[in-house]
Amino acid sequence: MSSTGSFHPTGVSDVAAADSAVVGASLLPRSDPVLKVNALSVVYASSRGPIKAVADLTLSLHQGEFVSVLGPSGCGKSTLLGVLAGLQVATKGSAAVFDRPMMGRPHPNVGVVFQRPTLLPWLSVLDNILIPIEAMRRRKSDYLDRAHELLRLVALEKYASHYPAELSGGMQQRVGLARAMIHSPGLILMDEPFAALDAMTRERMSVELQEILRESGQSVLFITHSIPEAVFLSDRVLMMSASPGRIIKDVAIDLPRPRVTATMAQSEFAEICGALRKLYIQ
Amino acid sequence: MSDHVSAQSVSLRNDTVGRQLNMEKLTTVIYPCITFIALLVIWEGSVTLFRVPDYIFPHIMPVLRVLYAGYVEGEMYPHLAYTLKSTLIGYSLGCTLAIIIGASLAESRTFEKFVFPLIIALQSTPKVAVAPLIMIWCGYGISSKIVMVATMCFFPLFVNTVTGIRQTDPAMVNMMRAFSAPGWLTFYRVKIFGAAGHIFAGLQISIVFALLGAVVGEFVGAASGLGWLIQSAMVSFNTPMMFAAILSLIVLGLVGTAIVRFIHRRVVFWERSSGTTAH
Repeated sequence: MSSTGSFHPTGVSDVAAADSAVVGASLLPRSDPVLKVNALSVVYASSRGPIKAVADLTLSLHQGEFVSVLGPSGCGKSTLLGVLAGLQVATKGSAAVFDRPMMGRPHPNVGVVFQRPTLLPWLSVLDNILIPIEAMRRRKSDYLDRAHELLRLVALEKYASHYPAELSGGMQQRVGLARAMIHSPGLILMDEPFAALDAMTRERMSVELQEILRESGQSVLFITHSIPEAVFLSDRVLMMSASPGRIIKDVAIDLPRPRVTATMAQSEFAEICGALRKLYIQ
Repeated sequence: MSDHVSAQSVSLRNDTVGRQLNMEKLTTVIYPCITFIALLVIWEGSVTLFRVPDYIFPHIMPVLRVLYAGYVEGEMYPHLAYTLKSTLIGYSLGCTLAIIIGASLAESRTFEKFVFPLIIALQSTPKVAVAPLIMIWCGYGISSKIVMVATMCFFPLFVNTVTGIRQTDPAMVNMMRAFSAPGWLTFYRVKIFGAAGHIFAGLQISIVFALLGAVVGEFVGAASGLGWLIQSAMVSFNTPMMFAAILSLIVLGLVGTAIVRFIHRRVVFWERSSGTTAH
């Protein structure tokens, strides 16, 4: 079904057109960025006066790219994601997803994977995956095939009728990934999706995520505080400074794909990680 | 007020394994039985030893005789039926209203502003004090008992419903928002289910309150019912009858609570296994 989208000419900044191209956007050749953030600032009001979470942040993400935003805890990474997911509003500057400015309303061509799996414990794995479909008031029966296909992709095809509590943390997070992909979004936002997992599972999940994305070809903005994870997965790593968060370095990762577990043992991999770590400390 | 009877404390028992579980099960049955038997012995012993007259504190036998006449020969059934009827209708009414009003209040800030002070005032009112007024408004028939029961069981469940819905995991609500879910879907898919544990705890507490309402209603004015039976027995110092009626009420409360607990475990199945969830 992902091939049925109408051709979407590049450079169209009209909101309605961007919305109507929801389904096929991921397959379209386009040169303008999927995601454009320009001089974004987010300020919170607090009892001790305003707190700047994100300051003057600029970034862009192109079609099919995997970009990580890497930074220490509390640097405003999650705030950035909140704005891009339409859960928060920018104080200054702009953020646009598929040419639509984000004004506190989610974009239908975006899927989000959260830090916690946030699966509904009273729904089966299959029904959990179909939540975005229900939320967009589309017909669930039209997406059953897609749901089973995604379950195969995340290696959980036997667990469709299981409940979340019967799955391990890693499995739950894979269900969360399948849920984010059910409506074939052009962009997936991931907010430290593996942060709550143990180190072994975490490494395995990175390899699996790369495999899954190689098949689906979606653009991803990945938020993390793990240097190896960012280096392993990304085409580009954006280093963020501590609060207020801004991008201090844009590093292209040229390691050849597909990257495998052994990649993490290569000297190049270690070198890149080392260079990033130096930036982290500064 | 012990409004939050945590359902998890009950389900914890399910996690223990094997022999330890069997031993645990056995002792949870035997120990209270021992307490109960000891109590009966002390009762009978002291009443005999101190020659307490029956109209002050009856022996066990007269109570059993009244129970036999009541439940084997059937003298008590009309009273039991009357109390049961007003309790069940009033309970359903009060609980339905509590869930609907509680959910609306938890969801709508505007509605909350309108009715919250009123509800706080009503909650602070000793409901028993209103019973005579209810008699005047609804008559001495069963309708006044039903209203009394509904009034009594409304508040515990109302408070639990509001708390349950307010305590919805914000991460879940954010997740629904991020997928463009309309508010009603978040309510239906997330909040109501998330609050189910609290709501069932409220339903359980409300059983006891419902019986209290029925008895008070019958005290104030009735021609039938277990509460009325107690009051009319008081006039003739018929303590065995009072004991028998009180025992009947205890059994009603226990059975009601057991039924609600059973349904709770069946419906809120995900809370049982929540102990094994890896977060």
